[in-house]
Amino acid sequence: MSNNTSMKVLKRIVNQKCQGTLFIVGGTLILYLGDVLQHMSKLTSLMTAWRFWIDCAWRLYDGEKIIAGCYDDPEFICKKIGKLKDAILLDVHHDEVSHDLYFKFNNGMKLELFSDSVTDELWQLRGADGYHYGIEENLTLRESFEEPDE
Amino acid sequence: MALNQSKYTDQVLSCLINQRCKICVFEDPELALHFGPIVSNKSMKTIWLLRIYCRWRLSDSDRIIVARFDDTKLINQALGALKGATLVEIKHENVSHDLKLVFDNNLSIQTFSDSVMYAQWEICGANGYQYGIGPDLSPYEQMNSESYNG
Repeated sequence: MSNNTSMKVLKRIVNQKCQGTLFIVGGTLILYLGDVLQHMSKLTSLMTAWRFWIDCAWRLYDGEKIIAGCYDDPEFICKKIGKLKDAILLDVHHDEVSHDLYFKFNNGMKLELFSDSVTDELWQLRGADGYHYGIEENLTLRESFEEPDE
Repeated sequence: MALNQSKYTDQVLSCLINQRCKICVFEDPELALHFGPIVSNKSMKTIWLLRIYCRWRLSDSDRIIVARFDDTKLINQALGALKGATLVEIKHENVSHDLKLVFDNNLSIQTFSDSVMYAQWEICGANGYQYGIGPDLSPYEQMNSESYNG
């Protein structure tokens, strides 16, 4: 799959609202994007049209200033990452060699991802219909349909 | 960061240019790159030591070879390729303090600052000099009465 494909897929979440975030101790960060769905998730009280799972390194900017990174303390992270709530995702950039990503939001926040493993999953976009697109082991792009998340 | 502080960081980092990497070892959580002539055979101490605490990855011209969260044994096998390589360029990003170290064998190490609460990297001289990026992504400089423990 080419970078074109990745950008086409990732464009689906552009102009979507971030309805909330979840930081799981151990490192995973989930962005809840798009329309809120009626049924509830087992993980949180929120389920949206799209979810973006981040397992690699990331950091958050407010304007030009870095305000948090994935290695900060969880309580601190949750406070800072909450600033993404209700922000609209304006743009996504994908680097085709490293699979690093860059998200720009309408409130001046930016999220930068950095691939920090060649043997683990890095990030994944999940649709409410079970569509999955992400980077798996060996920095391989994978597109599939799975059982929708509950 | 003020422009002159950024230039000062660049100036400090330039001490590593044209130095040969004697040893490069990852011992979780620290990546240690020893540069320049050996000054003490007892501890394999070199003139300069670059300690990297944040995320990093080793790449060649078109792919990531290994990164911070891969298996330690695999990491150290891959890092062996840096032994004897000469550092030809260091790029320093003045907001994030990310580094890109470019070697004469086309390998490079990229760092990614992943925290505002903890240190990112540090240069230690055999004469006790230290310069690094600490909490709040603030540069610090100090002279210790004792050299680093190599």
